Amino acid sequence: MRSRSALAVAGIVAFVAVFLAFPTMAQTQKVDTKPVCANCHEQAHKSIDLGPHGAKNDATGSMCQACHGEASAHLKDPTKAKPQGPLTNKAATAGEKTGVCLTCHAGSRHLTFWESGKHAKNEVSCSNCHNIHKEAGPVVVAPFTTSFRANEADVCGKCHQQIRSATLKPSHHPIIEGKIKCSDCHNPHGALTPVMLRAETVNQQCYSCHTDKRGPYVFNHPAVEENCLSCHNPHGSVYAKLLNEKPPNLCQDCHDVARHPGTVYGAAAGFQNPSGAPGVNPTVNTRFIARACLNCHSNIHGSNAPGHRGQFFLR
Amino acid sequence: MNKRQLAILIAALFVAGPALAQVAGDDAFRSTGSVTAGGIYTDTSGKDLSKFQEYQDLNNGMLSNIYFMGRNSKSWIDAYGENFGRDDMYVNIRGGMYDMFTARAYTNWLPHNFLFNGLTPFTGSGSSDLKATFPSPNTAVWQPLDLGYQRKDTGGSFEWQSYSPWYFRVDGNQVKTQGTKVGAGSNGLSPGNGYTDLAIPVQYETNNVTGEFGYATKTMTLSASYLASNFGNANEFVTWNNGFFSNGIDKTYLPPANNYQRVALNGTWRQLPLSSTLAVRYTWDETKSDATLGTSVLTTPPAGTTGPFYGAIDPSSPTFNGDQERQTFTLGWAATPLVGLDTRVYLNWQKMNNNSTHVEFADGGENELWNYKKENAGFDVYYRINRGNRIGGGYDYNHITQNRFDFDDTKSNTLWAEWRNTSLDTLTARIKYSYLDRSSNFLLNNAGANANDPLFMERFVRAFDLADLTQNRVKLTLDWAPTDNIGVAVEYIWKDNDYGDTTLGRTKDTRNEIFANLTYGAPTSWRVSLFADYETIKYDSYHRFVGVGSCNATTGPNCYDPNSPASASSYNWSANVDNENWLIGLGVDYPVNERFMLTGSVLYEQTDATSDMSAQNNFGNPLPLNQYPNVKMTSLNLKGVYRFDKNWSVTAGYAYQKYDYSDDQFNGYAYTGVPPTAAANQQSYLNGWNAFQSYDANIFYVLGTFRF
Repeated sequence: MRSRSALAVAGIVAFVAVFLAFPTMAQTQKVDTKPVCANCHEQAHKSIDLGPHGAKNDATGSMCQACHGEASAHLKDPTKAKPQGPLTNKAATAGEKTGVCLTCHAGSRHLTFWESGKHAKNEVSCSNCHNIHKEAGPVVVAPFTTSFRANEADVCGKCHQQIRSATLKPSHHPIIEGKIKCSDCHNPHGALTPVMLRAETVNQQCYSCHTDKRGPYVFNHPAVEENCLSCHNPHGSVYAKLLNEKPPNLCQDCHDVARHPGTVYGAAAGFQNPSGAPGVNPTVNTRFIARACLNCHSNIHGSNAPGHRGQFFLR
Repeated sequence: MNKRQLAILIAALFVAGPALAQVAGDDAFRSTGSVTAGGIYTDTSGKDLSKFQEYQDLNNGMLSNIYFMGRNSKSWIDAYGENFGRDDMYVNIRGGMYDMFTARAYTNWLPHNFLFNGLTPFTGSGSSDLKATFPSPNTAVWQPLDLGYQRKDTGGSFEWQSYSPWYFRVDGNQVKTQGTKVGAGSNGLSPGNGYTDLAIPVQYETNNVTGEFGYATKTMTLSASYLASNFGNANEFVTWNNGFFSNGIDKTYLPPANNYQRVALNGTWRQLPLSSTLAVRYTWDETKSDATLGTSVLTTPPAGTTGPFYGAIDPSSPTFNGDQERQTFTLGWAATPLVGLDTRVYLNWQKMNNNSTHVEFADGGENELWNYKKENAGFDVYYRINRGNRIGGGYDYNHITQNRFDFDDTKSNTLWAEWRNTSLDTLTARIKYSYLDRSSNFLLNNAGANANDPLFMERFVRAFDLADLTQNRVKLTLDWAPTDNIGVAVEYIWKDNDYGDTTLGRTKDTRNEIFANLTYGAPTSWRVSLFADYETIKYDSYHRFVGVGSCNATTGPNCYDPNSPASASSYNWSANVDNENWLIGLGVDYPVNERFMLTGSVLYEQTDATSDMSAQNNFGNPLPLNQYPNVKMTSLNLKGVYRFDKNWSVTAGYAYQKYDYSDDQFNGYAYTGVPPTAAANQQSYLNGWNAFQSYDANIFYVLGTFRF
């Protein structure tokens, strides 16, 4: 265990050391030169200088022109002639704006399914999400987190307001805490799966993190195998465990047989005496309080227990 | 990773930065970055602060982060790390050489807390052996209990691009999860004998490795990948003394180890006739898991006893070999045959073969090996009528064949249409309507010999995930930008699911949601974001209660038929769950001057959820649940950053959080004595999970930052 951790640290240190060697290796490379565009657009230049766009730029501002359009006229008379690329043209369509980026990035493996994705079909362009010149991001409205990184969900939430609202609910994946990103499950650059999931199915997506739920179990819960979303809302819920509805109601929506599954559980089944009398309610029902059905059927995702104990997910 | 190793890592990052920055020459490695350190202090009130610290380490201590970014014309590195030595540490280092390779190493730690300051009658929580002697009514002698685990995800990737358009990529990571989670076990074999909360040990380790190679150009992308994933659990089960069985040792089975492998082939061809793109994906995956099957209810009966309830439930096979194999094939063809006409045709095919061991047990238990085939096809068409108007429509067909016990064949048809208007330069409006019709072949129409047979009731029960369904959905979005600095966005969603043929089960659910957002942002001045969300979610269901195992004089004849007359022991009832949510948020970024930046946000969320029930002749006297749950959350987040010069700055912040949770399932909570009249061996033993979540917290922090 200890040696594995040491190995991991050594790997990271080695990773950094490799980069220490780069400057030496790079001595023979081309010289970085400030593009002519920076004479006026200093801030725009600085914002990309240390990124990949800046790395490929040159004295003529070829990377500036690659995105903003041919600028020879603009260089002659900056006040009258402006580059006419789609990115500076308010009338340009999303497709035209995206086309600028695809000029270079169409061969990226990340964009394999761009044309099949919902963003392309709904006229979302790259610049709707990507902030090339590092202008101020969205105003953050969120509880305090110990993470000081920019949160991808703030960008997605600008359009997906329903999802933003869900992630702020009491039961949520650690999205607002910055531990899970929207793009861990969804591929904003396009996917063949509905809702642009990265995996082929909802369950496969969930299992990519929740590997303990993969089974296969001796006894599998059909609803679990059908679709995790039958019971859970992955974006957030007011109910614990991101459930769509509270047990016992959620369970009763599928299960109704003689005796307890079909029992009506009202306030008289709680700990608290409906009359207000002190002490535990004499009619408290252990199938209603706390986790309700899950108090007994605790292995609801599946079980390897033998016989009926496993079949009914009791052990 | 211990603190010493952490120090080495941080030191390496520190060494790397200046060293890189010192290299001079025609192609100097230019860099920027920052080092931040400070402290956090929290003042809290509340019995169980696990909700406050659900996913974060908010204990008093040191906060830190390091950022480094640099490049020359050939190579680059981008590194960020934060919360070093805390439970929510994060380190991410990326780098590479342009057009040659990229690489990444990371570690991401996540705490997940469920319960602080709980109680349990067991000793050994966290282990796979929980010991207690029941009855144990005196909570004063119970053990303190915290439930939660720590998840550490460490990994990296390497992508070789030097022989572009060919590339090769390897990803690998290890996820270790250690701690406990929430669980419980029924005391007896049949319901009604109480239950006991358990701390379920979590000692998981998952190792994932993916290799991918491909060929990517602007007109064609081809790739093949292989993923191997192994999940290991140090504990096959947790054993615990069961008071119902005179402290015999019971056993709860834990998630079994599994091996998963997946092959994926992807292809995209662009610039085809009709300005089209063809995308294809095929995947094959397999999950395997083997287990030795238990043969009796209890692992060990109480000393000196061999009662029949410990007896054999022998399986037909001593071992279970789990093996599920899936295949998927997806094809999408997107084309723009005419200017303004955007189309897509798609096909999805999935198949799952369950090759696991079929097992029958002596007590009648028998596993169901689920197999399915899913066929999905459809098309989307968008047509831009003119610059200001675009219409769209589509059709989706879904067909599922499977061997589920209740439904074996499900078909659904979805039609949708939308209109998007951008006639006004400042306003974009979109309205979309979709209609879904789902019908399933129900296999239990003849269940039970007659209405006196308990199985007869299954004729009327439909699981909502596959029941016949009519769904109507409307979505309206408005984006209005009257000036460059002001933005208004409104989204309204109405969705109605009607399970028309369902007699018993969920009959209807409806959502009404409206979201409004206002933003103002002057380029060099203050910016504000204000949003307000309101949603109602309703679930209607209908059920039948029959309180006996067979119809008798009390229930009357045909008691399992919901159409039979009601009695005190057999009657129909309905539930209407109504969930109303409010959320209001306000955020402000205010640059006081060139040196001083203030940011702040406030959020208030309220949920009022109820369940109203009614029964035939008011049998059962169902009382409404008025706190199901009721939640109020307030959070205030203020931060100021003052820059002394281009190198030094200080950040100070204050945050306030208040969480009020009230729930009829927990109000009046008791750890034991539940129910008060039950026999000693039928008492329940609870640990406090979710019962005392409300809290108040004040958070203070100060950070100093050096930029280079």
